[in-house]
Amino acid sequence: MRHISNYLWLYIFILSSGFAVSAQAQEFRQRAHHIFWKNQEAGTEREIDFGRGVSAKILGKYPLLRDEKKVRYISRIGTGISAQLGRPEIRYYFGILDTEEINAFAAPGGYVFITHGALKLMRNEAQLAGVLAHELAHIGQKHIIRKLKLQSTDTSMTSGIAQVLGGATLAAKIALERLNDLAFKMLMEEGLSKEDEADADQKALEMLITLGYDPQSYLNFLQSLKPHLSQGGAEVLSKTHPTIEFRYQSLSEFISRHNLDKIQGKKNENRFKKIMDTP
Amino acid sequence: MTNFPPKKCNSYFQSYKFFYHILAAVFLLLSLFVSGTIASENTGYIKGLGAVLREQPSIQSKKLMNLSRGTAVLSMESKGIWQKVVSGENQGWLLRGQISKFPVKKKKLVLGQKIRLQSSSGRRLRLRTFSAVVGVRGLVDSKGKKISPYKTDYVALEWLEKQPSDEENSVIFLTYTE
Repeated sequence: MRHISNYLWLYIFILSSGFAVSAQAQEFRQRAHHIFWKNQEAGTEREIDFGRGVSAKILGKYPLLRDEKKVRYISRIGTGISAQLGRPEIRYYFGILDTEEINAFAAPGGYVFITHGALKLMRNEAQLAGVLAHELAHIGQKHIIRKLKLQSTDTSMTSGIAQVLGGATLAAKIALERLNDLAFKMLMEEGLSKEDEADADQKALEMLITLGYDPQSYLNFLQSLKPHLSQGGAEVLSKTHPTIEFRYQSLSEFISRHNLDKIQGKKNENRFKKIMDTP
Repeated sequence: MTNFPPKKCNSYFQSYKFFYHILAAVFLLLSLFVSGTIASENTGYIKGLGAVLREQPSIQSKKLMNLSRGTAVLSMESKGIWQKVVSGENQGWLLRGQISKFPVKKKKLVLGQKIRLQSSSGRRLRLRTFSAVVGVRGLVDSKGKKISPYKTDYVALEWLEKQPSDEENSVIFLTYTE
């Protein structure tokens, strides 16, 4: 009996100290979590501010098409996708660039642009949704921010972008402007990595399936880009993106890996044409 | 405790039993930590509007319920682009793109601060953010050279930012099928 009482005291001691330690660990976790989120939120604000700068440069290169009917349509499709599959903390903007060049851009922080030339090439709403989804995936995965190394990983304790872009000194402002130019150059000249583009394509296809759109339409759109790329109608696009063959190949692999080949969906050709065919 | 013979006590501390008991206690503690970590890693949050929980991992499968933005779900097995989740008493399949690893945060809008200044063409502009001011005025270095060689158009950007946007109506707009 004495033995048992002895063990009992020992157990009670170990267990109670154990609970004390785990409670402290819990508190530590919560505090770390709080700091993490505070940084993340500051990071989001900076990201939007940064993205505005990049967007203003895109609009400095290409004029904005101020056709309210078309912009509202694009914006409704884009917002419908982002409300379901985008980052909930971001308000997305969708603009049309008044140029015959074929391309689409995504600046950090929620700014998406599609050229009038690209819209003319599209045949239905599923293709438009696919291209917007591709751009949303770039913003969702923070591809530009990551490539500029403004944020090392999603789980890092301090958000890099808040530190780099938060400074008020002239040196910090110059650094911000230089980074902004780098992001702009990335969109116009250098492009993202092959892997990031393939990732955005796959995410776009997944989004189309989630929303009930026809995924094949997106592949068809990629194919329809081919002659324009060789004729020079999409100079920036061919400079900044991997070849259509590579993109088609990686999407086909993705489709067969996840057994997505039999999935069909809506195309909403008439609604698309009704809006786009008006001058 | 005081009348306990010290020799016996000593023998307990030196015995293999003591070793096993410590081991058991450590194991217990570790399992407490690990279970907490695993539970938090498997928790996901519904990213957006219009997430539908389905009976089977297929678009044609029966709808069980709609999950609202921010709902916490526990992830189970996955199959292709589908993820099996548990939400309260319901269990079903979601498309994985609808789940976020992090809790849903409040929407951030462009920074509220407005700064007035004259643009180079003399037009009056109302700009909201620091980068906008830099963009219009042009930031110069110590030698008076412009930092950025690129043109900007913040007036067009603000036109775009003023366009109406309604998440719920847009989601309904997307459900239309011809």
